Amino acid sequence: MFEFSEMDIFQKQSLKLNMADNIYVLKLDSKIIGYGKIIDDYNNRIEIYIEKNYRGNGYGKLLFGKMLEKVKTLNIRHIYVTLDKKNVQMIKILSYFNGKHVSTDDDTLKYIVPLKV
Amino acid sequence: MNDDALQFLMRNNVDIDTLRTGVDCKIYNIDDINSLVSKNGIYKEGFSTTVSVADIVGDIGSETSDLFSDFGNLFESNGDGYHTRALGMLNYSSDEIMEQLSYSFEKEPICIQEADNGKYVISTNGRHRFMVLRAHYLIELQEVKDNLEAVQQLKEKYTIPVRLTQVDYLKTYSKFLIKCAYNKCTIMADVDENYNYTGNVEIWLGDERRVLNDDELVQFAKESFLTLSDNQKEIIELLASRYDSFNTFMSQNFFMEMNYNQNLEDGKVR
Repeated sequence: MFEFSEMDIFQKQSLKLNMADNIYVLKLDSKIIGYGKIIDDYNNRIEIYIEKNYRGNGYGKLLFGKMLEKVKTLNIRHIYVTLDKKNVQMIKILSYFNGKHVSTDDDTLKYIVPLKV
Repeated sequence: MNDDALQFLMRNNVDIDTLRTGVDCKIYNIDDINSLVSKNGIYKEGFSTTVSVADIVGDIGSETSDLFSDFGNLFESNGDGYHTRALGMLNYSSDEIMEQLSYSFEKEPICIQEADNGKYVISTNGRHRFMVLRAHYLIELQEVKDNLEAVQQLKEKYTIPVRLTQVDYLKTYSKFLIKCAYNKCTIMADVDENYNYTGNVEIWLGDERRVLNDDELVQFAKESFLTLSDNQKEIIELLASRYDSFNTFMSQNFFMEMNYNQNLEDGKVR
């Protein structure tokens, strides 16, 4: 049973995350298996994290899709995602959401992901 | 090597040591094929085409390694869904594999990215299929490697439909040269309102944003190049001797600049 919700202050504390950040959690049967951050800087970035043991099962795509839905409500046209170029799973997720690879800088890839508001 | 790889080799009557000495069984990482592209790559729109498995030599996501030692990363009877879902592919023989996978090629094409001229790596979809196809290709290549005509036929046999993203060498190498001079600048492909590449690049130097077409980009790269130290230029010449595509780019666009120091010594530039 999945649950997607805003992270509360206690969860942020336990994961040593910044209190001010907009963070959402993905739970599977009440256990946190991943979280995503919306970073509201000039580049409008999203970061997501899935627990290692739960990777490769589509949870990243599920979480990223939920995060995009949240961002859409902010009336933003697109977001940028930066990732390590060896993160093949994230590259697949970005391709699924029509992300466009715009640059490579050493080991970091940058994608622009359109949002249909 | 895991049991699934061993069983695959046994079914195909392969002695792995003989195979490894006869043909190159490495799966290359994009960094090892052309590090300038892998660290600065700007790409063109992807398109559907056909490419031979012979020319798909690596993987964007893993270190350079041995194909058969790497089997366990994708095929493992005791593993999770990702590792077990494609085990059936290992049962197909070299005669069957192309036909058995033909439907999947059309339905969900293998996605590859150019790493250097004529060399490609798996980018998103198709790791399992690529590993099995490459294994069969190498096993057959071992048998015919001394017969050029048969090698060519084999290359054609293993030609598959793919979704290909090609390198824009002019943009990639211009970016590399500019970043040698301006470490902090950001250079990326420019996109239009429909998120298609415009063919230009967007450059950020501090807070200043510029959009340059190819001619303007090369001109900026030339100006950047001239600010580099002699040591940096020597390294660039070394890299040009290492990567053919970079050498071509330099000789087409930087003929005068590359000979600048030599011309000064010869008294040709005053």
